[in-house]
Amino acid sequence: MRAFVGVVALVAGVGLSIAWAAETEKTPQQIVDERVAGMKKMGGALKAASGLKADPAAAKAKMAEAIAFAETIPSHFPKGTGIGDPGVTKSRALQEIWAKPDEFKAAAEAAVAALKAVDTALDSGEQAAVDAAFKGVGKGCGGCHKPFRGPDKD
Amino acid sequence: MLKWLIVAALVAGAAVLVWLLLPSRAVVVIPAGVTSADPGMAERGAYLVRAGGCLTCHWNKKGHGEPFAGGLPLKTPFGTFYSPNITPDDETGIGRWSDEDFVRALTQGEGVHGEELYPVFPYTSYAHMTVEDALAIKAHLATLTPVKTPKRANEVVFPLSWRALMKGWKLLFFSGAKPIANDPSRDATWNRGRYIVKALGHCGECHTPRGVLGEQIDAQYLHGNAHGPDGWKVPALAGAGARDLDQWSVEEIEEYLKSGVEPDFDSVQGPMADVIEDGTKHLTDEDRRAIALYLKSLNAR
Repeated sequence: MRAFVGVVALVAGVGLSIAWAAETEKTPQQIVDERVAGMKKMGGALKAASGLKADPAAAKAKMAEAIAFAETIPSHFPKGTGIGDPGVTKSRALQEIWAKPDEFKAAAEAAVAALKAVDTALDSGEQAAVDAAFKGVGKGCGGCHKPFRGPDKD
Repeated sequence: MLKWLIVAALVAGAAVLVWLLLPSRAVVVIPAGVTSADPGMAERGAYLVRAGGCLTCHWNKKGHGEPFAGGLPLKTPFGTFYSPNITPDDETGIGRWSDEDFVRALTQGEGVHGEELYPVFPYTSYAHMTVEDALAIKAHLATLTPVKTPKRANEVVFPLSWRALMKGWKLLFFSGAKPIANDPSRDATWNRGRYIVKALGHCGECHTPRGVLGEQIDAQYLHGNAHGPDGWKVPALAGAGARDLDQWSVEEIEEYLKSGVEPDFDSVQGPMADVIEDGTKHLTDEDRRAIALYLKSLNAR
């Protein structure tokens, strides 16, 4: 009986560690694809939020979704997941991201700040403030994309 | 028999050669009484230069060149072309050009010395422009400070480096100056949008796929081009591939042409960034709306 439990535990343990390894050991391209999907989802949330002028509470919920992802942006760019890295077949991430890590981090943080400014403006209830804050969001995205994102190629 | 075939081939070849070498000028018809010196033409031209996107190519911004002085390298499958100087400098610019010279270059693809222009200059689009608009553009360019920037020689693959061959290209793919006629079944805004997109803005130059000889494939007008400037993929504005644009509202297209911000707050990058920065950003709200409505009409189902 004890032996049986031991074997079961061993098998389960091995199985779990394989599953864990499979979960953590993502291929570089998987990491790229996941962050692209995350960016798209964030963009969708922002588009939705900007369309919800009449419903600040709903807009705030969408903003929260966008902010949650934006805060994780640097973690989605581990070294080795850019253009030309082994295992990366399709990406627009320039190597500058890892050559200038401080600038990259600062640009990502500026984007988060731009998003939070919209959230704050929504609290104020002033439409002009909300519109102005959304303009800042465009700049926030561009602040990272212009220096760190390469051409759109097939 | 073989002897006669060779003779016939030689004669035909000689005839083509003579045709290619023979100087010819395209006929330019300027309406009576219209000149680039007319009052108001320069102001009108200042706006049309924005709508016409002249600066996008005639300004080597990254190379710290002067606006309109050219020098921008344009890489194509046929070689690298360098945009010419269109400031009114007498020696290196267009200072000595007559109205007729200018209209002929713009709408017939023929240079001031009768030489064939390469279609990297979008004369096949500008051919749809009215003569009045072309002259207004000339009037504005004449007000600029002349800049001395000699034209850098193109690096074109043989045998296309022989300009006269463009006569053959034109025979195949160009049917001469043809200002767009108003479509009476559509409203003025739609017609204006079509005029800006097709003629002035020459959107098809990048957004329409090209055939093996560099010609735009008319049947796939604005269907996108996988091999755009600087290696960028140019999105489709019409056809099956235009799904993205399809999801944009008229207002969103207008905003994009004004600020470069996309509906999901991503911002424009690549060659289109300059098109917006030096061109569409400076247009009136009405014209941006006309462009957006025309583009949407292409995707109407």
